Amino acid sequence: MITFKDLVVDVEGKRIINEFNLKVSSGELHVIMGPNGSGKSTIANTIAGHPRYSIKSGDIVYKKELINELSPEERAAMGIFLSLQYPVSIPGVKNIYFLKAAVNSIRKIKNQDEIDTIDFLKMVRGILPLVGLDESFLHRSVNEGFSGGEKKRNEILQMLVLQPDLSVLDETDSGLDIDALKIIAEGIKNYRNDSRSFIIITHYHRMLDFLDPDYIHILIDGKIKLSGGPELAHKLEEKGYSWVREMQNI
Amino acid sequence: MLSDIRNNAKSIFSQLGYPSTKDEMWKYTNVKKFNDYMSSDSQQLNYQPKDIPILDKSHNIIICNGQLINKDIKISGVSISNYEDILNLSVPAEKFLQISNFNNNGVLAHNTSSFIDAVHIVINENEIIDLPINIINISSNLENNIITFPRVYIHSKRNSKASIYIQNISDSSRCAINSVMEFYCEDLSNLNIFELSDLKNQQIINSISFSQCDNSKINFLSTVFGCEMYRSNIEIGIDGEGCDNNFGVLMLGNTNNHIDYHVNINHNRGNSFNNFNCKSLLKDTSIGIFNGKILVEKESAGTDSRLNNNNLLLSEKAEIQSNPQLEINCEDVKCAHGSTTGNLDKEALFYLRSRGISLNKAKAILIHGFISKLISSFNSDILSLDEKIKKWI
Repeated sequence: MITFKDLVVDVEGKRIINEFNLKVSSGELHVIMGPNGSGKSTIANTIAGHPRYSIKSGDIVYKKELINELSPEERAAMGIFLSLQYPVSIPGVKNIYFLKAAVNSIRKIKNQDEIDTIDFLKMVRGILPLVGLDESFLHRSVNEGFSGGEKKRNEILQMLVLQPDLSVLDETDSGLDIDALKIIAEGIKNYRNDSRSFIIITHYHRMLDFLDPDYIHILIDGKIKLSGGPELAHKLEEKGYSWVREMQNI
Repeated sequence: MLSDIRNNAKSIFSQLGYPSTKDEMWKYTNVKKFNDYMSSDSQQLNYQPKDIPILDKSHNIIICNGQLINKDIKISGVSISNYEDILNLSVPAEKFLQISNFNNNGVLAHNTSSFIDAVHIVINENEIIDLPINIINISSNLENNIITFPRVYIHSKRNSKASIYIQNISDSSRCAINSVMEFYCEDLSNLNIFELSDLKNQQIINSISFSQCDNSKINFLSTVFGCEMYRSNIEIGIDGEGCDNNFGVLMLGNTNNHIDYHVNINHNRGNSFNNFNCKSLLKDTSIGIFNGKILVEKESAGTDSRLNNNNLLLSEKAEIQSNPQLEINCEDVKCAHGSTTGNLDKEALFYLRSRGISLNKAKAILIHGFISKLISSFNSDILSLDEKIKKWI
């Protein structure tokens, strides 16, 4: 699905990602954990093509195509989705309008006709209960006045509407109470299948307990220092990142 | 009586002339060259305009170069007259020429002394006018050194209700326009006013004055697609209690447009609510100016007044001068003012693009979000405002 080869990324002249290598195959769920400032969000934003993140060298190959130079919208049309750590509020723009504009923009890039409004509403109404939101959310301005949990649920709603092949979830579990966490984890779990892949960035193992990840990677100083199975998350919870540093002689 | 007022205006204008940039209120907008434009007689201004944007399901009143064109228009519940009718005393002048105070104002004095025709509209007592009154104010077929003086008086009588659209449009004449509109709003009257200026190479000073009696209500939106020089002076006189107003301004500037709104909100009596919100979108090297002041006089307790200016600069060279002010001479009032200026939020742009929305469409969505609340309280579809804004973006 996606391969990172010796990726080096700078943010405003500062090196954040240094020789990052990772391969995520179809149907796999990979988790990236790491201390604050290790470059987790940089990886997420770089995958989605944020203009502030500049690839200095290395390749990102997605569905056999080099995507280093592609715009965020081109990547979205290819099936890449990023759930933001801090979803932005857009006053004056209704959620439903935003969702429809997104769906139709992607269809346009794919040379497909615009979606029928009734079909679209039917689809969205079917998804809302899966993320525990009611219809009033569609008519509110995007993320404006939303609680932290509502914002995160709104991100998952967008994922389920846009149906990406690769979902990158940047700390989607932060700030959620246990009920909201369960709703979001269920949403992700139900969406997962053999042709869809996930890169999940998190600090905690609690959402992972619901998700059954394939791999856990520990990112330190912009590079994966340790990879393993789900048990790694529990070990980290117990021993902290100093354990990885000691083990790797960092 | 009217001739006395006009003679007085003439002598005041000869003393004052047009203000210079040394005058604090005209610091950023130079109108000295208005002194050089030539007035013209009614014969020269006489022109039957073509391609008039008449609206369906509306009462269309057409003014060209300051002269009422369709004199025979009849609207049930409304009296419409031109200046000749008023002079012949066939209709009472009411507060005509008395709402805009020209004593210290050369601009108003020049219009008052020099207009050739005027449109006098009275919405009769207890009348609810179902269809909007659409005033099409055209400047057309004028020589470059000519100045025109459109003059409109609108009087909403007790317990009346009407919607008024004002379309200011022009051809490419490089003329000057000194336009004055006066509104007199009696007790319990309700006016919904939507002004849309879509002009080109003209130099324009547009003065609008309101005088309000008890419990009158005004919902007002002024939108200007910039021209070479556009100056709007809005004077709101809240002279009664219990008034309930919502005023909005939307400036859209591109190329080297110069748009200047000066607003005075005078609370002369208490217990009224006024909300004034000005938003600007400025592209290229356009310049916007917003200078607004809430003045709460003594004996105006219970006033609740807000003044806000929010600006979106869409290019590095666009400029805004923003100056909201408060002067409160009374206790027990609620007043607030604020100003913000910024660019399009880069994180919001990325957010939209990461969902597949193109950069241009993402910008359009954010711009629309910025102004949507301002224009949503008006039935702006009728004048295709959304379409015009989309095209402008």
